Amino acid sequence: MKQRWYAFPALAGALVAFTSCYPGEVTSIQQLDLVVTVHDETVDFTSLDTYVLLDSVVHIDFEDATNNDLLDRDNDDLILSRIRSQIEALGYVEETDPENNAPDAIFLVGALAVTRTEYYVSYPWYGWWGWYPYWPCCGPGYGWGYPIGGSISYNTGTLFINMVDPTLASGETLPIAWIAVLNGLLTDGTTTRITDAIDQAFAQSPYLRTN
Amino acid sequence: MKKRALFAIPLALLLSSGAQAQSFFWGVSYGMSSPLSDTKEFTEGTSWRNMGIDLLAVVSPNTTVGVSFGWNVFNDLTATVSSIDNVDIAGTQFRYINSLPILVDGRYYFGSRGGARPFIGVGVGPHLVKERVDVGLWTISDDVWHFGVAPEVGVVVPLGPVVKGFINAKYHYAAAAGDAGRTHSYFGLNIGFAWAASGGM
Repeated sequence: MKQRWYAFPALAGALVAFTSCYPGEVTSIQQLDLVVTVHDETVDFTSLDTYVLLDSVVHIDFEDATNNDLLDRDNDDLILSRIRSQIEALGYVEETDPENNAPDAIFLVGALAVTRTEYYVSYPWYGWWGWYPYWPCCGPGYGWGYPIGGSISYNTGTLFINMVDPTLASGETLPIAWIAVLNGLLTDGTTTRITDAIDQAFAQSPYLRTN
Repeated sequence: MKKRALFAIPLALLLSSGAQAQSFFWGVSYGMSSPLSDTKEFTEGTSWRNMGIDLLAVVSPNTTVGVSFGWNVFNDLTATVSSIDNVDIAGTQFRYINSLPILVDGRYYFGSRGGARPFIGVGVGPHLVKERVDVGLWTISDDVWHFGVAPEVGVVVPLGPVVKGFINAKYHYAAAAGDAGRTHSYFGLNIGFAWAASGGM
């Protein structure tokens, strides 16, 4: 049996290609949604009773940022009403006269849009060796053999729900008792994703229940 | 310094054995792996993406010593809420482990030359474990070097004058390392071919 010198590298190369570092792929945009909640473990949420939800969604802006042009006000009412219903489902009662009766908790809602740009370089297998005249499949006109590079830009949206306990205020500092950060790709038709994320933020924070 | 030592020991052993060796074999294999213990907690599913490359020196009619490289990819998809202290994270998590063992491998073969030869062996050396979690639009990754041991049993079958086929079962255990202090272990079944670089056994 004649020894095939190329059998070993061919088989090893085929296995390397098959193995792949990171198999699997995102199949829906919802798989890129993220909900993170953080709470202050020193706060006794069961002692809280009344709340105020500020009546607008603050679009967080930076001096040199124009990304908030990506945000509109179409979903603000939906966001606030969904948050309000979740708060009340936890047993909180809305304080209707906060100027005279300080609420136990104040909820602040903010939104931020950011355009992210990522750069990549891809080396197709033929790029490892470049083009050679004896390459069996193709001629120099194809221009391959060089790494393929490019960039990709996408818009992300983040909704912040902050819960502060006004009794913990110190000077100009208002410590956050609980915060939910809802992050995902900013696309058309995000309504259901926003409400699902709000629901998830409260669902994974059962300690917020007042009693 | 530790990393240098991890590589230096296997290299020194291979070179010392190679000086006396009568012949060499190259081997390449495909396999499946089942994660165990801490590795299973991170990525639960059986992996079908595994490969190995061996360079074996025949140091006696029944013994080979060599170096064994592996590449094992474990991946999992989970949508559970992860909690760390007072932080809770909900989102689809794509979890990956790329495990790359680099082992000095010694094997003892039963039977006689020319026939099927069962063997037992053990490999020792570093395992580079590359852990990664993609969640939302974010990636968290960590590379950890573990020191491990990998006992194995298998059989080599001659397929021709210079080509042999082999199957083996190999258990990898790598000691706890890294900030998380996790061990790394899995059980693998492999099938492959070996080519004689010179001579034979």
